[in-house]
Amino acid sequence: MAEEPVVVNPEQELETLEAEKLLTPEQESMLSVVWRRFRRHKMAMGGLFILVIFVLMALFAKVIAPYDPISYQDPYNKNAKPSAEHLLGTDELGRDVFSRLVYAARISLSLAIIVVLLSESFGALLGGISGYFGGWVDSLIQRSVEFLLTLPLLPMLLAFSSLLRGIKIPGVDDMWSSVIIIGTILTIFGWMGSCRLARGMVLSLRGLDFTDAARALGMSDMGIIVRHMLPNALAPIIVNATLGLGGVIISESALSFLGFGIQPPVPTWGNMLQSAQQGLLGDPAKIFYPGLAIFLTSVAFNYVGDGLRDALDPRLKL
Amino acid sequence: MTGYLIRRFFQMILVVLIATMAIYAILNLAPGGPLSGLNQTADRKQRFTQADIERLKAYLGLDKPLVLRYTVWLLGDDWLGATHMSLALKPPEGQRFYAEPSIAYARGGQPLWIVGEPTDRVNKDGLKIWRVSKVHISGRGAMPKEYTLSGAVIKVENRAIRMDVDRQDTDIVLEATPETVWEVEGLAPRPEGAWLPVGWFFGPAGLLGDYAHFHGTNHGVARMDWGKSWAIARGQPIVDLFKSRLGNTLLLLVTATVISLVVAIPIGVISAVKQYSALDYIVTTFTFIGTSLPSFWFGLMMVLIFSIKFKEWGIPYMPAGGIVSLRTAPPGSLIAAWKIVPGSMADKLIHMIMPTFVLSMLSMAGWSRFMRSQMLEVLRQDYVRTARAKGLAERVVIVKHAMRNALIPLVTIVVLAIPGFFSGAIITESIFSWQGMGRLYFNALSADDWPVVMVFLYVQSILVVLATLLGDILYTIVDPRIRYD
Repeated sequence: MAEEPVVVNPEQELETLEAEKLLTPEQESMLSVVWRRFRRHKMAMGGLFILVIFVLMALFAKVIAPYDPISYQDPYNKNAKPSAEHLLGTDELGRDVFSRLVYAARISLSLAIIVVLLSESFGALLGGISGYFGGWVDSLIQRSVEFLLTLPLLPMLLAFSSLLRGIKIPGVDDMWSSVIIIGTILTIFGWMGSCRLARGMVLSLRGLDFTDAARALGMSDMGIIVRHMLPNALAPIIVNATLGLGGVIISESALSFLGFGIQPPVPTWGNMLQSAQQGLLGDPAKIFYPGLAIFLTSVAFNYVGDGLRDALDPRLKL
Repeated sequence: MTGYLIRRFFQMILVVLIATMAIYAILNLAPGGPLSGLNQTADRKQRFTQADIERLKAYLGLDKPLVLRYTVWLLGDDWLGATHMSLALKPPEGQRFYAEPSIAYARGGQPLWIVGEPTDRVNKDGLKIWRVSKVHISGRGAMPKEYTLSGAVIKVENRAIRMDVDRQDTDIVLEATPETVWEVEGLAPRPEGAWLPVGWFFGPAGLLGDYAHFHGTNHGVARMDWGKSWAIARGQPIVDLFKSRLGNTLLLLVTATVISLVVAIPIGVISAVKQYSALDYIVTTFTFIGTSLPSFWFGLMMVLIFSIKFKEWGIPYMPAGGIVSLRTAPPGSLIAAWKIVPGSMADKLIHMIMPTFVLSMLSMAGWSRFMRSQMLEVLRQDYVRTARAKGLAERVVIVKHAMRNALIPLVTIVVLAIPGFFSGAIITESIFSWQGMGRLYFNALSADDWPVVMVFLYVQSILVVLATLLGDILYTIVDPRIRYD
């Protein structure tokens, strides 16, 4: 803001003076501070760039993909090498690998986002309740968290998905049942981190004056947790969620790769790798690209998470 | 500390108990249940009929209340039948899972039920020797006051006795004669105190139903009787199955852990000492990539390049999987090129290279990152400055004063890798067809071999809890500032 000499006209009304505005330095909005700090993290910016590309790919899958990922099958052109017609060749059923790769981005990313949104908000809510009420509620929730953390994760995920493999969810197309089931399982095993974060934050806020003030104003306990406590825990939870997105993508692909995850014909990077492995290992493209996609998204999420941690951490002065 | 340990010990038992309950309940109550995989064969002829499934359920005890099934799974049912001897002990009709059941009658007209199979051996009187899996002699009324094994002959002194000899390791020989004198070798009499009044826990016989005829030889998972596999190695005791795989897993996992420690520690130390150098930058990037690298893709790419592409290009190629080569090494492979004898230790080592590399990469990335941050923390401490001020050589300061202290927290993290020595690496073992525990678990899941799955999860959760406890204890030992009491 330009430093103009302020001429105070004694007849001017107080409201138009805007003394407050003149005396306080202009506040940068929270978002722009975060963005300014985030931009300094080169690798995080790279990660963000990759993610934007993948998200665009997922959003415009219909435009980008030349063929339908499921219904297009060319029985006379199976396991084809990459060509102009099929950029990355065709798979063992004669489906276009590139189109499946593009659509898989849509499924993997949206599943990861939904799972993380659900598990982080569930975890945050439970953590908020746990920290706010204390006592036996706290013990119960924290012991459950510790308990879930002791369970061996991958074996449990596999056991669950193996058990629920054949389940058809009523009202959902058979093909998509496994997507919902895997999403649910990953959510069940994914909320503990944000629960601990939220609890820690709420514990430190519980004794502060504004909580008492809110209570004195007649706000309900849940209202205080959701409106006043959790927003304060938002920064670490956002970081946790971003790092979690990479984790969910890897877990989902690992499950699908082992054959216990999302079942074909729904394309995911994991089950594309699996079918590439089962078929001849001859064509490197079919193994390379789905794996590269998994790897890039997970590295990207990790770097973005790292960048966000730096950007959101109020203790770091950049 | 002692008080803390005792408290932790009981907590540990509780956690494991809850874990077993959770594992059992989830696997049994999930929609479809443990038998859900049965009817997935596309061929209509091969499908089980509903009656078949019911019979199978009865045989496996799946028609019993969950609480009872869980108790039996955990603690066994050899003590269960005691109060329910009055129940009929005849095999369910149409039973087709026992090997040649034969029904005979013991002295006094009590029904005697023997389950077993004839062996090829014949005794001195020309009678066929049976390998017996179960002997039931049922009667009515009270429990037997006593029974004896005189010499090798069982005498049934009272009206009811139930003996369970369903142990593969005890080679029991029964000779069927009309007088029903049973010669038994290698069977110890059950002390009287071993009978538990089950009725107190489970109420009237109604709840148990005709449970008494089911199994009755199982000592329960918690008593180290892990039962038998259903599917992947039908009838084989799970203990044997584990024994046959554990060696391979230990070999792979311990090697990988040692290698990653040996590499991760110096990497972490050097990149911390030379913070912000080009080397540090490379190491940090490497660890970042290493932690987000999906092991399945990494493994597949290694197979693709070093086995398949190398073969195409005519370079001595790596074995794509397995533990040893089959009889002859394929021409053109590394094993043939180096004239390694198939089945030798060197052969095994060659097969280990790729899976070990994949596994070490994974833990190496995390550990070196941890080591780096610890080292950075330690280097800032006063005692390091003091050591430098004393005029010690930089090498000595770093190795003797800083590194030693930075290693301490790493110990507590590395301890958490111990449960992996049992469970193996599911993904890596699957990719490289390494016949270890991880692959066993994966196969058991694929084949719906639930007994194997449950025992695996049970052992695994005990190990995880133990490792966590060990980590916490080590923490207090290596860092006296932390006290738990």
